[in-house]
Amino acid sequence: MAALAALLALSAQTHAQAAPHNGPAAVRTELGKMWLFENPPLAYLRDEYGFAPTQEWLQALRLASLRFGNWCSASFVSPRGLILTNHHCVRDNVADASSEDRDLVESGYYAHSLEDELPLPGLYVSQLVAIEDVTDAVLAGTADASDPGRVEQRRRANEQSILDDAATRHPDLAPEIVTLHQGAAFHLYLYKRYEDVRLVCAPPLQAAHFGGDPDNFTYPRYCMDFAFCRAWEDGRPADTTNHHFSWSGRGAQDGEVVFVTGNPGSTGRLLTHAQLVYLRDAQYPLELQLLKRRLDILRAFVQQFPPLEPALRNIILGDENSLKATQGYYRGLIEPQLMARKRAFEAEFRAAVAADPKLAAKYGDAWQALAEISAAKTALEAPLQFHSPAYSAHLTRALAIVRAVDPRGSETERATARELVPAIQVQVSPLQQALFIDHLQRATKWLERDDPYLVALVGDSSPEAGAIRIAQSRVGEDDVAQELLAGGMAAVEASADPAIVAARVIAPLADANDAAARRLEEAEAVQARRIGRAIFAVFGDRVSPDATMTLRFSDGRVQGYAYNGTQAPWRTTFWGLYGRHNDFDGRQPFDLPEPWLAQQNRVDLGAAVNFVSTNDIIGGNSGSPVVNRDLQVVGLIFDGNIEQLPNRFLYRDRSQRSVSVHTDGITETLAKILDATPLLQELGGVSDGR
Amino acid sequence: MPDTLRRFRSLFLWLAIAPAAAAQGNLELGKMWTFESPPLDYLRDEYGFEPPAGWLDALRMASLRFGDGCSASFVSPRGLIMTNHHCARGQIAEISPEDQDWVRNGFYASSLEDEVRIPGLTVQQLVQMRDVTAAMNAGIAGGDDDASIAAARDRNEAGLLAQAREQYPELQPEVVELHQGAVYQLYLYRVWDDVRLVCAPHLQIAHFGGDPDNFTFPRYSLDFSFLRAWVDGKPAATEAHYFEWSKSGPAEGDLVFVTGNPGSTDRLKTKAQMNHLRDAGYPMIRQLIDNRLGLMKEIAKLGPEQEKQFRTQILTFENAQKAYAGYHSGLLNEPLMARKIRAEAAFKRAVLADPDLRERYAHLWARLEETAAAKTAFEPQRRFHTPGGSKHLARALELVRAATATDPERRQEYLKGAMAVALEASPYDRASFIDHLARARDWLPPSDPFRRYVIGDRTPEQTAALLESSQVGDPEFESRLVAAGEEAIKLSDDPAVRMAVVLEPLIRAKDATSARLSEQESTLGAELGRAMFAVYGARVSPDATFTLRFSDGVVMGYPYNGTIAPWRTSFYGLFGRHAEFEGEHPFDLPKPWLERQDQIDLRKSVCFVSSNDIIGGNSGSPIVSRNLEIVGLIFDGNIEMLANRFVYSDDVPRAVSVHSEAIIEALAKIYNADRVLEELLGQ
Repeated sequence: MAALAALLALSAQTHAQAAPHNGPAAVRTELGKMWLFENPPLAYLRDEYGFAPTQEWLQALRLASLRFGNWCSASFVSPRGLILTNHHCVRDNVADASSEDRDLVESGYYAHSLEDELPLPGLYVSQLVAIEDVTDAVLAGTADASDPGRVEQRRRANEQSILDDAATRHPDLAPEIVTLHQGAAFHLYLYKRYEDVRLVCAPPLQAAHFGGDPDNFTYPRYCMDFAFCRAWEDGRPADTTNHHFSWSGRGAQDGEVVFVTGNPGSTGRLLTHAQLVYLRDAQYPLELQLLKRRLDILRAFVQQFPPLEPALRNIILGDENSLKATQGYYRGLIEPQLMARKRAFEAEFRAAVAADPKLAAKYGDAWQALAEISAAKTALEAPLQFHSPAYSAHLTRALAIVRAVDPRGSETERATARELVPAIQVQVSPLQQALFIDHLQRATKWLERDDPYLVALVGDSSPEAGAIRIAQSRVGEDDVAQELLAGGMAAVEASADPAIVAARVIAPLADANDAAARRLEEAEAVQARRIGRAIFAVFGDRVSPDATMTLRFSDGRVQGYAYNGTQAPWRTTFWGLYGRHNDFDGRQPFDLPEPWLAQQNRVDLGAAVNFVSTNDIIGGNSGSPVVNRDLQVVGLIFDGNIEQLPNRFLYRDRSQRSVSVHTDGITETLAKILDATPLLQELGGVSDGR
Repeated sequence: MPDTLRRFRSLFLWLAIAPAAAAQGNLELGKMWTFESPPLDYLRDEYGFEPPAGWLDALRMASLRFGDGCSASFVSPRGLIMTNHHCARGQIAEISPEDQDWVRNGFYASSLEDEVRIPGLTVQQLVQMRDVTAAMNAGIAGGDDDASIAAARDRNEAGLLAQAREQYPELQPEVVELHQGAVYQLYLYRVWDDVRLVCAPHLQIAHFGGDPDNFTFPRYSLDFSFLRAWVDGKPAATEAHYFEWSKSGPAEGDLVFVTGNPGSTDRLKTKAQMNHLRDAGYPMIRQLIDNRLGLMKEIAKLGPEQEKQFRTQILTFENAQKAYAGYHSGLLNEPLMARKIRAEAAFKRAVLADPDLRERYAHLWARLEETAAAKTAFEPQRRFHTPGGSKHLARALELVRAATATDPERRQEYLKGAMAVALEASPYDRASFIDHLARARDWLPPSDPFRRYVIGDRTPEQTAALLESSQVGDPEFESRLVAAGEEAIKLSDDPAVRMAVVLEPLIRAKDATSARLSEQESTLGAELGRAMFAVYGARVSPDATFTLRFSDGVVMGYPYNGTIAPWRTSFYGLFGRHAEFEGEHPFDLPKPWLERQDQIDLRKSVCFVSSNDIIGGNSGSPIVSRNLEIVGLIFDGNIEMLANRFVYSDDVPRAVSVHSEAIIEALAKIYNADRVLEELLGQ
């Protein structure tokens, strides 16, 4: 009996251990771990890791971190302005810096001396140097919410004067107002900008992007997705002695606590359950079906007409990538566990609001309002998507003709449409026609049977017949178009041209849909702000705000996970890199640049290439440094695994992982493959000097 | 313009044809072809392959059934046999001298004389097949009941076997029931009963990745072993029936064939029968496995001794958890089940279209649906009307049976049974019983007698404690109880006895219903098999019967983990997976593999995947090219293949083989097995 008691005590203890995360005082990680530097979750870090960062630590973390352009993250990794980011963050700039006979993206680049560093015009990096809470100033005079338009106007005016004031006070800094918790708080961020950024080292594309689109969003992974740039000031390397990360000699270790800083772009974790249901039942299913069918058609086309492959390749790759991402989000939403956790969190949140009469009065009905808006959006989704000319050039031109003569439109609208007409090329393209037929087929599935669009376009016949009828239109002939335009509304109304007849039906439908969609978006934004204020009122700083493409830090652990019926290791190695290359017979996108093959014998195959951790990241975090408690760089974020995609809606860390380049992989590459000794010394010298 | 239009039409044609082409054939039922009914048209249409004269016989005669549950093949003219390491593992352990662990350390006989005989091990070669459907159905009339039909079949089978033994005293006969009884074949085997161990690699390379990697790909296991058939003290002469070793191994896109003895599949089951498993059978068994595993893992955490005690059982349960999750996921996979529904609808339409078939078989689907519904409704009782692991309850049950038995001999048996139940229960036993009660409460309706009287208003913990307060086990109490008789026992206030009085008739009723439902299902299943055979004949492959089949497939990778799995793995990956887990078990490697790593050609393939149709029993199957050369050795399927138990598909499911090149590399670089190498490569 004693043993059983011990057993039961054990399970009770397990629950007790879990309790701090669920208690009212604890941090709620459902909303993620993208922490603000101005509100660091100190109690949580202490409870979770026994780690108590000082203000100096937080400041050092912040000042060594960068926003890279407007789309990525980066960090200073030497006292002389050396910047570490992803290859894919700097790819377009490297392409711009290439010449026709010298493709630096493809071949890679290494500046052997400071003089060889390559200016990247237009590129700048931003360092967050000061933060002020300006919520009151932004919201001043906006208490009366009866006229949303005026509130919005007032708020924008407030923001402008805050920005103007900041510019006067700090002429050397770039100000930005950050909207947090969907508008519950506003912070003024002041950035130091480094506007002379030069390329130091970029590996060849095929090492950085190894595995290409198939391996994108996945792990195990083998990408050398790194690049080094340098900030210059006054014609000299920037002096970053006081704010840079040193290079870890040993890199990330299994089980280690690590921190990621960076600028996550956008998340949807404050979305209510009803808003997620809209995504799950309306937006994503339609989008996924469109992508899948379009890919089927494009692939069939390429198979049928191989010479078209190069022209369609990028469209196909783009669609494949969108399909993968959207499918990832969608899978999360149809996963019962994720939605159950979302419901549980929301129930608790609503109960807390309901329990406080003041909060209940202010925010209590926001969920119901969002549920109604989401239901309306769900109902509007199919009409919004399908009441359009889609891929039919005939219909597109016919619609422009109708709008050009439509008395319901404004003079400007008519003029714009009139100008558009001759620009719309009408050619019979089998591909467009196949895509248009698919549009009509899908419309038949999603729209009501008596929907006016379907009645007009398909009627009693089939989508194929409907498409063929529209293709018989003569609006593509310029004289026919001119005649209609000249004849005005009367001519258009009298026309029996199949595209014109259909366009007359589509125009008012599309206008009504657009107006309804705009109204719903506005209403949704108003309610979303209320939810944001409620979350702030209930949970305060214990939740991390949705991503805003501004600087955050996120805690996590280096850890493998269950995958593919077995386990994924916490890191991959050069063994695996050469293995995946070999197992696909070196075929693209598993080919390797020549130096990688030539130097294989020098490389320590056991050195780590990539690794995974539980840090909370999303697009925008690309290029983020991964640092240990001693603020040494141990890795470089460049992606998440496929399981991480649904973290957009709710953070989990069971099998969701961030994927980083391991510093060992970078060091090994610089030393053995790229022979970048000076760069290595700049990184390593720092570490040795500690 | 006319040209564009033509192209436009041809695109249409392509779009229109694509789905139809995919639906062609009846591959939902799989590709486990019998040698007596080879799908020659299908092979020609699918691959343009027409087996030359003698090809099928050669394929069959070099293939073997191995031991109790595996497959194998002859790979030299001198009786050399190749199979999986895991097929011979038990036998290797048995013959291994105590001080040399041949399973762990590997074995290599450097001369013929060193080969070690494995007592009791036989391999079987299928030498003759004969259709005996008529003979098996002799004396059976339309209106006979289930029991007399079964008796007649048993009689007919015994007669056929006796006759075959007389006619072929040197062969072993077996009557095989195909298509759930639509066809019967008499198979005659040559049995090789002197089998000796030639070469086995270390366990840790054969089983690299252990249970985590089991049922998965990418994979890095060299799961092979070599044995030899001996006859009259000499290596068996097999020059007329063995596979030669391929010089080049398989290439991506190659057509390859697997022969072997797949154990069992459930593809002829109707959708209704699958629904029963999906909604009742699997959820309950999976809950049991999940909960038991949870308990075992918690106990194992208490200390090294507990960990050791439960280690094997945890692995077994984890494996079962994985397998059931895989089967269940197939039944929950909507596109896969849509294929099943379409195939079933087509089959049913064909039956309804023929007046004769309609008359005989049209009712079967509805009847099977009723049976399945009855099984689903009955499943909670079947599973939970039991003592659930409570020792006190089990012992009290036997006592109640003894007390109510009228036959003194039966009474003694029950008493003996009661005495055999030891009352000491481990913490795990107690926790399992508590879990049994908790799950029973979830699944049984409130009105169920087990819920009302055994579970009652108590918590499971209280019930367990109450039962432990019973006086069963006290000899005096027990003899008084048994002597008191049926009426008195009903009045007993001992908690275990009171519960046993309620449970005993429930168990009897449960067993009777169970038997009735399974008989019903098997009779209807046999009819359905006949209907299937009547409609499709030999064009569909019968469910697996642990007899020799061959299966066609193509060497190819597949979509996996958001990206693509390559068609093969290589030694780079083996050493990579070892390194990435810091060489921790089960990703550790035997010493010679680490010491001689630099001699191994890292580019050489280790494992590969193909779309052949296999299942448990195919372990050890050879995989051969169209020239009948060995290109690999089947040893597993990927995780997605588990769903193939119900519906065959080849979009993602794959068979996993050891690549022929890996075996040669291991023999040459690690095991210095020159003798075997020369024999295999014919040098």
